[in-house]
Amino acid sequence: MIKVNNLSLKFDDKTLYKNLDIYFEDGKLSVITGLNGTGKTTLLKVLSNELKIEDARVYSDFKKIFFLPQKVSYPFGITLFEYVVSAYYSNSFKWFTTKSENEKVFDTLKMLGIIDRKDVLLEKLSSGELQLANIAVALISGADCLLLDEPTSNLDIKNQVLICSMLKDLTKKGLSCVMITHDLNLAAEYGDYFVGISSNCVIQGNKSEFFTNENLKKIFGLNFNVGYENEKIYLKIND
Amino acid sequence: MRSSKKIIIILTLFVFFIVALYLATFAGHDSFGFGLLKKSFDLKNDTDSILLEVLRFPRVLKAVVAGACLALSGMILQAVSKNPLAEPFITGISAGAGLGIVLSVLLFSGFAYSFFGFVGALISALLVIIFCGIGKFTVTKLILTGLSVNMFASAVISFILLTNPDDTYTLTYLLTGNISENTGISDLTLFVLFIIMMFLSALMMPKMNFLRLEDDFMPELKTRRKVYNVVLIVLSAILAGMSVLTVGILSFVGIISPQITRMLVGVDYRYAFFVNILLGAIFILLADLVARVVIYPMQIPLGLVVAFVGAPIFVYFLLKKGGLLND
Repeated sequence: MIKVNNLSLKFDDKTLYKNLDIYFEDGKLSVITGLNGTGKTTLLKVLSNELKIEDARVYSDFKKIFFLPQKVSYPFGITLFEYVVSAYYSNSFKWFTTKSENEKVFDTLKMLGIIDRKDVLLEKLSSGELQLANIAVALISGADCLLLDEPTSNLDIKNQVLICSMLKDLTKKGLSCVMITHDLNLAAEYGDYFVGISSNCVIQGNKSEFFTNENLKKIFGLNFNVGYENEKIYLKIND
Repeated sequence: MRSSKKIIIILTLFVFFIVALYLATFAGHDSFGFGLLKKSFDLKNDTDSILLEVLRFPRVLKAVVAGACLALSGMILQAVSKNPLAEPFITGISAGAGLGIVLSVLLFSGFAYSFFGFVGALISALLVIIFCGIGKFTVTKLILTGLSVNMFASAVISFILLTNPDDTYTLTYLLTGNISENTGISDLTLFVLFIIMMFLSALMMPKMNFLRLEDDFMPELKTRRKVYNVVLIVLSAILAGMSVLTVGILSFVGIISPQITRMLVGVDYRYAFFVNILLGAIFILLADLVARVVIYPMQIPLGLVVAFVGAPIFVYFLLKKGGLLND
């Protein structure tokens, strides 16, 4: 789990949030959402300990955190397999990966459903496959917590669902994910815990606590109509 | 690409390398064709063996060292900066080396000028790396600081050239880039230094494979990444310095060789390492052969041959179908 206490953040003279306490549980798919420029990415950077804020206390018991930024630069000219296996070269001076390490990469690619693409050059892969490749790198790096900054932002609807359901499956196996997204319907479908950030308040809660007309009005400044059907949530904009 | 195919490319290049080595050692202005073969078996001939030992062997060694060092230095910097336009002298080395050479001519009338160039190169690289700071190191900072140091030192060189018209010819010749006749260190020392540098670089190649991944991916490895980056930049600066020691200021090979390597085997640096140093060495060996024989008994400065031959080859690889610009 990751716990952040007493987090206050200012950009120039604009206060983003004040004395914020957030708690992300293990094995859950947590979703951060909110308007542009309200500090969602900054919050992820605080969680990954990349950004240190005075007076804030960040407590995390994860062994390894993996951060997937919005923009990733890819080394074109290598295959999907070579890309994923790169994570094994981070330490020690070995020149070759062991057989068991290669097996683990194969298993991971198989689990993510991209094993038949393993010998395809990165530049020939679709955006969805590249995003799955990044998730494979995360798994190979031994991370037990994934922080994802809009992992579905430039994907088509099918790949959005694919990535989200994949992340959901991974959380069922014990991995923890915190993801930023703007797609509320997708979030409502797959998320377990929600944090909504607006310029004057931060609202958190599980699905039924978070998705209320008042909360969404506070966060986005729009009138929503939240509907329930067989425990599923449907959002309608009423503006 | 399968690794077996990559190994075949490496072996083919190795054969080319041996041929280039043989040509560079035994071919002269009058010894192409059958004379060439005969001469190589005829080592008992005194003048020839002296010629070989005193002139050719050291010259070939320097060409190989220069080619391999330049190519490797360029590849490392391109990998670290993730920018295919990076070149070995980006860390302020060319102008630092030039200043060293110019000063050696003015103060010591050219004694061991390439050693002065070597020292100048290392000092400027060191300055640039210190300016960037190890803790707050970023690649953009490195490139811009290197550029500034280069501009400053170039201005000093131009000033010296303009105010010393008597030495201008010598200085321009030395700054063009040529196989150094007196490096200030023995050939054996040079060879040992070369082997050590190649070994250290080989150790870092798997790390460069790791650096291919996005910088932000693993936050707790950020420090390690920075350390790798700085180690690699120091390595590339020393390699570029060694190229100054052997052939003066000549960086073109450091751009084209890594580019062609990328086209041949991609960016798996464990294979690219061998392909790249072989390509660099072959290129300088052949360029020096051309420099020696074309207008014998005069010699064309190596730097000019590299530009004359290298630029068209590079443009060909850039524009050809499936070439460098089509990815």
